[in-house]
Amino acid sequence: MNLFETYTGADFLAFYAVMLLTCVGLSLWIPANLRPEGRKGSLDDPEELALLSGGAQRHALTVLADLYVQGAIEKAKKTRVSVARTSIATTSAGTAVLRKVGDFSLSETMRTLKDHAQEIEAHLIKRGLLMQSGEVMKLRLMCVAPYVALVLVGFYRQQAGKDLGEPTGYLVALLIATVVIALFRAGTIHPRTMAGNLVLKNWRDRSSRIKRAPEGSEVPLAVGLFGTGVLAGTPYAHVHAMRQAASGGDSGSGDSDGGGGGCGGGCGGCGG
Amino acid sequence: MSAFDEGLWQRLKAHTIGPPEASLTFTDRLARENRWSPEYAARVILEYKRFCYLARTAAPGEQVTPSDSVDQAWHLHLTYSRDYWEEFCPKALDAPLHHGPTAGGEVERTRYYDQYAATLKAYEDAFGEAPPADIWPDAKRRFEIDPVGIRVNPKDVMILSRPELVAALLAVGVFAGILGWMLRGIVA
Repeated sequence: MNLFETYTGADFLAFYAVMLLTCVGLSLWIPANLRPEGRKGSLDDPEELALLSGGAQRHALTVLADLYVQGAIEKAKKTRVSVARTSIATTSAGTAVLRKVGDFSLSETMRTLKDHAQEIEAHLIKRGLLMQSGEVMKLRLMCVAPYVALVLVGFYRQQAGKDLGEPTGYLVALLIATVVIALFRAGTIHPRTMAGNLVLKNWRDRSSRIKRAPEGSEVPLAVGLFGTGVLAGTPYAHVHAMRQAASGGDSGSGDSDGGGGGCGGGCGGCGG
Repeated sequence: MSAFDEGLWQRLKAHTIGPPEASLTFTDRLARENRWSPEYAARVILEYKRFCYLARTAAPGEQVTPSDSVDQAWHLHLTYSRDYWEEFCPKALDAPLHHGPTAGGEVERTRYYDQYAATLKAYEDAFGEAPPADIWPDAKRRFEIDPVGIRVNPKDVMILSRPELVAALLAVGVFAGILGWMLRGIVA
């Protein structure tokens, strides 16, 4: 007996499409509502906020941004940097980067900072702001489960249709799309707890200004909270270009000809 | 952070730029020249006054940098030279405020970015809120997009925003498709 024998091919495709949309909705609802609560707390350290916000890559970018702003590293090639001076006040992660010889990329920086990032991650898990690995896996499985069920139903119908000599090309395409979406969702679930999300939200809500134009000392915090996009149009855009190169994107217009706009005025010195 | 100078702010806020009885007021002209709504232009003028407050209360030798929108208000105010130099600066601001455009180059770019970031910080400290994002945009908009703006006359060129262009191209595509389908029917 075919469970969907009353469905024509077109009927089943419409049913499948509706179920696929339902699965997408579920896979968005589940991580938004079923994450572990964690423990409420606060963070002030840009490196910790960076790891909470965007993982090890964001942490490495925050360290690089801090060093770049302080002039400790400088642009070496299009998407690489090198150490310019070491006599600055920085964190233990910054010190580790300043020990590097020659020019280096973001991925090389991440390898250098792997232990630092793991240490911060363990600290955030202990504080209840990040989930433990088992909890992350559980959440991923919960998000993927509806897709798996849908693929099984679709595959059953595809085999039945094939046995009857029906064309099943569109259904196969939908099955492949379902698998791709499921893998994408599973790969993009962030391991924050509800408390971790709240810490970030509070910071972001009160950081509208530094998202637009951070002062030099605020750059690590801005990058940690919002990513290197905040550096576009600033003198520190090279760090943004490094991030874009690492993700395979265009390095953009981070390095302009310097002829851009700007004007200013002041009363100081004129009787003000 | 110095204490808020309420007297200065009240004088700036109370100052009306240009003759209020003019059929084309300062606000109307600012809106017309920038293709803004009168409401937005009025908000920009308020932000311009806040910018002037920051310039007046900055530490000696320190400069402030406006957003592009605020700069447009400043440029236009400078053309009302009697009001600017004989009324606004001596009476409301109580100091001359000179405009200094960039000399170009990487060093200047860095200097103006640093000033812009410091101006936004000073704004937040003085007025207790972040500057409105639609008037004080991010660095990319301020230093990469806004500076490429040019003056055009709508009698000489056709102004079409990018969303309007996409919509127009889509409409032409749909029309061409329908026309092709109908002609195919006639030919068949």
